[in-house]
Amino acid sequence: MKNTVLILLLLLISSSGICWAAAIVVSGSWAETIDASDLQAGAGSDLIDTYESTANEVGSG
Amino acid sequence: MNTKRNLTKVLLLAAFLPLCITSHIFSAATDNHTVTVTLTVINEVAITGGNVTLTINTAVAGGEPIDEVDNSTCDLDWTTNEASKKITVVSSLSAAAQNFTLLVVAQNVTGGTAASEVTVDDSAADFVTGISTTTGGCDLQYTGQALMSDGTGSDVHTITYTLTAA
Repeated sequence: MKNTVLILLLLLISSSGICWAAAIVVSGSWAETIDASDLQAGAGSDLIDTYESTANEVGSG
Repeated sequence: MNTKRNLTKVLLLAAFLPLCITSHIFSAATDNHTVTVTLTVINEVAITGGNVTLTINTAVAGGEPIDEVDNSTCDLDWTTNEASKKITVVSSLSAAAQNFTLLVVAQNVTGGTAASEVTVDDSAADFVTGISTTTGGCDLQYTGQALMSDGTGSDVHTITYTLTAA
């Protein structure tokens, strides 16, 4: 019985070690070039406000 | 018997302890990558409204023809992300090649300062100055002038506006 409790305790400690470990991975990169084609309405207008990468161009986990 | 139990405990501890340690070793709390945003030089200028025709066909008896003015047909718009810019105007016709006089001036200017009214010829003249990292626009006011001594005919100009360094 004592051994069972000890094993459960050790399992708990081991798994909690895994839970505490923060894991983050960023993959890919993104480069955006803004030029005259990004004007809202050609000459006399300003640039588009927001630029977004394509889906999954940058990943995280 | 107690020794055997203790040994079991130690072995169990020894078996699970590396799990705890390795989980910390192989996990990263941070990661990074590059995100690059590049803004290129943008200098755009555009005429809207199409072509302009000025027909001088009125005069008071005893006087010269009355100037023909158009300030509602065309606009000029510009966008630049560079400093110290201006817009110049030039005609395809030299002064000597013109039968009549054509003047142009920017009106209701935003994003710059109107230059004085210009008699257009094939030498570039300042049209709007003081343009810097901005969007802007103006109405184009053209004035055709002629004298009775000029006779009749047409001058067909190609007018070019250029956003350039001041």
